[in-house]
Amino acid sequence: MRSARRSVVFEVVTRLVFHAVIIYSIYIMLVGHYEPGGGFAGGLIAGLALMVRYLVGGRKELDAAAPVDAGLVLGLGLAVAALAGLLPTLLGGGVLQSAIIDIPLGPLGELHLVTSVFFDIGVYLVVIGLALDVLRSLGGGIDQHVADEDEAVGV
Amino acid sequence: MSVDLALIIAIGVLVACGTTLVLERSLTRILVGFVLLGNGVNLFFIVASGPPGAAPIVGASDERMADPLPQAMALTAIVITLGVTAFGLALAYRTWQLEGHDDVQDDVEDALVIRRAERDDTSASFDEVDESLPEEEGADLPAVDDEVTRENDEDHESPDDGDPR
Repeated sequence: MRSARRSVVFEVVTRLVFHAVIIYSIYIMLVGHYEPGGGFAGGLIAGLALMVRYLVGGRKELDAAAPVDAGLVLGLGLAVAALAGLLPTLLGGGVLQSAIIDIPLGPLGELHLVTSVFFDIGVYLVVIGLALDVLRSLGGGIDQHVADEDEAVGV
Repeated sequence: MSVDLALIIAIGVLVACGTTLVLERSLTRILVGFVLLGNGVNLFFIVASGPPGAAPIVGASDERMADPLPQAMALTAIVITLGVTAFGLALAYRTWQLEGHDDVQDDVEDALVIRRAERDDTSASFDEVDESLPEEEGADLPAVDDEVTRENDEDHESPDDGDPR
């Protein structure tokens, strides 16, 4: 990105906050079974974090923040959500039926795992993939077009 | 049931601004209008769902529980608005890229229909003579040629038969 369009405060604050926002989005996703939140809200928060990274540094910054193909994330999320829906039927339950498993973790206490969290993880990945896809095609892709045209004109 | 007046006014403003913007020529304004309209309708869902209450799980609380259906519908509508917004953005950018502006094109067929209506012509898909149907209107108008006139006369053995007037 050209130096004239950079904002140092925006860049520094974004890089300081980015990882905390991603952690918070994962927390929101995991806590969705008991409190407001869930895969969709968590995915939107993570997507917003990626969007801020794009606003700060353009498509290269976005690629550095999420060095994965958007389609891969979307497909992975769909597969995880579909599996989370279908696996219970193979184990003799209903579609999307969830089980509650308590895993003792020794001194850390006990992990109260509700298997519907895997469906939430799928939704989370789908929403992140959608945000990435929109940012790549409508943000980075357009920047690429503009850069190509400037190059063709000879600016 | 009492409702929040501020929310009602907000819905009215959002929907009114959205409708005005959707009727504009520029795709960008149509897009902004669509987002405003979507948010207004979502707010309307929330207001129409009644007062807030306890979590909608049977046996969780003795309080009156909130209606979860409008909230689920609003969530779905938010996702759909997101998708439509992305599609509209792509459409507006592509139009700008190809034509240098993002104005919606004239509908050529629609303009043709308007011109025909002003000239009082029949439309292109209108069948001139369909003998299987009873004569409805215009039997007293001057016919296009003699053959059609004769056929119309043969159809009307009893006068004004099948004429609604």
